[in-house]
Amino acid sequence: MTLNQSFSFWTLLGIAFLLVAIGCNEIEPSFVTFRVILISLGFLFVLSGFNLAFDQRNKSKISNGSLALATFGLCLAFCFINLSLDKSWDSLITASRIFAMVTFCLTGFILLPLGAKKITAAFLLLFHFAGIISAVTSLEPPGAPASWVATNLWAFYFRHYLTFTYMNNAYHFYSPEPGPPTLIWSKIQYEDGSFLWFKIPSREESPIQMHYQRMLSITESHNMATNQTPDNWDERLQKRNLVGLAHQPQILPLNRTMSQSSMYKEPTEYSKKMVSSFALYLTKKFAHPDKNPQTNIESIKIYKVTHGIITASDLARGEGPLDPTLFYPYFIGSFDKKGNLIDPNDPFLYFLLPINRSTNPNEPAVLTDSLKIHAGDIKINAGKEGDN
Amino acid sequence: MLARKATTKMSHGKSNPFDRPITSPIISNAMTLEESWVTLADRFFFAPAALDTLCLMRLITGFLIFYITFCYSFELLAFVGPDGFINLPLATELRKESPIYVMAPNWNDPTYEVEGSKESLNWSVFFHATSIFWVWAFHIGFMIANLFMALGLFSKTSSILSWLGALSYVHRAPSALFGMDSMIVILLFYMMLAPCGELYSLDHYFCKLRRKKKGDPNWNEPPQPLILANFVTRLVQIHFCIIYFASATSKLQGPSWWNGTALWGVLANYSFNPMHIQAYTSFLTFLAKHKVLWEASMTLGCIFTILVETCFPFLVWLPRLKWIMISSSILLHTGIGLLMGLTAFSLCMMTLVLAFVPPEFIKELIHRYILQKFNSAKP
Repeated sequence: MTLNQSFSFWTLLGIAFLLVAIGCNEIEPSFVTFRVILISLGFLFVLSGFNLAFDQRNKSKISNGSLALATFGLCLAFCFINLSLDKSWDSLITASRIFAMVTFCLTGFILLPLGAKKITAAFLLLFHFAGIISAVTSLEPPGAPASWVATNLWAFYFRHYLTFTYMNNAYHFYSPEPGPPTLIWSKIQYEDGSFLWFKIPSREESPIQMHYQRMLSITESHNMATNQTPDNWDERLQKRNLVGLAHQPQILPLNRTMSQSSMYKEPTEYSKKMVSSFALYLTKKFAHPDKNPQTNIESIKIYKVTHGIITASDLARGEGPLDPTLFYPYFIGSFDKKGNLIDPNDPFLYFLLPINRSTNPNEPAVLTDSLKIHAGDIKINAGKEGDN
Repeated sequence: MLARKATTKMSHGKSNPFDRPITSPIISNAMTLEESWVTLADRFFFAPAALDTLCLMRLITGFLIFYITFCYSFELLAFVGPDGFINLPLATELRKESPIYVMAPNWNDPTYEVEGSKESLNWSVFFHATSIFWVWAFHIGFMIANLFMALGLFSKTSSILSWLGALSYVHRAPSALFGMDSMIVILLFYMMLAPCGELYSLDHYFCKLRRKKKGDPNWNEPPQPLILANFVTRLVQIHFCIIYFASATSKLQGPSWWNGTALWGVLANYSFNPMHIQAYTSFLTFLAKHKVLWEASMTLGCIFTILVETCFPFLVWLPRLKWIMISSSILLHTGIGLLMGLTAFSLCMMTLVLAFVPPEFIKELIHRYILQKFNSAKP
């Protein structure tokens, strides 16, 4: 066996690098780049040592004891990584502690006789799948609370393991029903009066399908709405309608026959934070208009738009999936340069801005787009179909 | 480790004990019920198995994770950069200030916050490597590890690094995730545990070369079956069954899956489906204009989806129905991949289904159709 095929050589080399990284952390912590390189190389070498030992054990070239030694080397490496990291790298410190514990247990596991290994593996398997089942069953079914047993088991016993390994999915794909997608439309308004619309997801702007799918997921994370009726609901609805009617051109009022949940979608605290962060991202991405680099952003209006799924009967009648009336925009807020909501008492905040087409058979169809009126894109009254 | 070398070949020459009828002599001759279950479980989980299936899964998983990681490159800083969609202060807040509430164990109390639940175990190098240089350095490093995993070069190291890399992305950019990310992490988790570099890999190729150079007469022998290979295959199989069962039972809560209209919600969703392609929309319009055909196809589609997802976890273990179940699952995911644009997700699911394909079948397939042609093409 040559030196480069000896697992102990690579393990020791890696540990030496990590020891230097610890020394560097003690003596001169400001050499971050040097330390990160040492840690990365040290970890790679120790992992390579483990790789060699694992391969050689599979081919019966080394004993279980040697494999355990390589695994213990990996455990030591995680301990040393833990010591060589800044306190600010807290998530990696926690992760390295966990990996150190796991590899320490693995070292013991390797040394067990086969029967004991099987029993231990069976218990680990039970824990693993019990955790996955708790994640599957701890999700609330429609209109009812989640199982008490499942949520408690998940929260107290399995949460950490499942979060750490990202096995927390409940696998409820397209259930209970496939719903309409959500889009995020943002109007970036500059101080010089110019503006631009940024809409996600966009097939034209996504260079690859995967990017498009990711943008679609981002819109979904902004789409979590609370189910609670807001305080002073009647008063707020009345105010929204009155301000809308007073607006020039008028913003369509909301009919009380609609359900409250379809008229008003206040995001959860999580979604509000996501939207605020998204607004801040936009202020950096579109800090200045292309034509006038001296001008700054004045505000960003963000709308969450539910794109209704066209019915089969409408499609058969010749209507298209992009018909404007299939879009249901909700105003999520106007944000400043720092991503802060400018007016939390805005009468339109979280309310639907309907896009309707007049249905009077004696007149030409007129489309009223409350979103464009609200965003300031339409300054005159609603025109004939196609005007906007 | 369970990677103990097999000392005997599997009886009947099969590595999958469930390939045999359930009325196996082992069960019928069982002395007691308890003993028979222990024996059965022992054979099911700990019988040594050939490595072909897992190694092929590693190869596909490696290319998939390479593609997935590469796709972040188009807007890397928006996903994992400090000023991305989820900026660093918010990412830290979500990691450290997200308490978990559960229902109290008595009737009168409301829900309560689980002690110490504010801080989650989400971790990522991208929480800390915030300069553009380091974000790109780690990203390129992870891509190299992914490529090595696919090629089977330093397979154990590269599969562990690929798993660590994948977790770094998913924990840093939770808002950009979808089903595919869950599936690829599952695949990577099991591949990391498995002895998956023993075949169809550069590791294997170089090992053979070394042995040939040394004059080893058995240099071309395939690796021996391993207990660990069977154990990991079983983990993947059980996990896949749980995924299908959870997916099917959750669908049964929705009325549209019962009245057969759910499939329309899937097919006519403009944001998911290729409705911008004229041929696709024309096909949907044709269906919509013929109501009976529309109703029949939508209902059949719903029944097929529910049946496959419900029956698979139970019927795939029966030798006579195994191939029907595997084919149905592949058909379902081909449909999802083509019609909904979720190609990578579908490929991940198909890779998981591969765990049910016996290693002998894969070995035969690869040797007959790939290696033989490759060898015959040599001058």
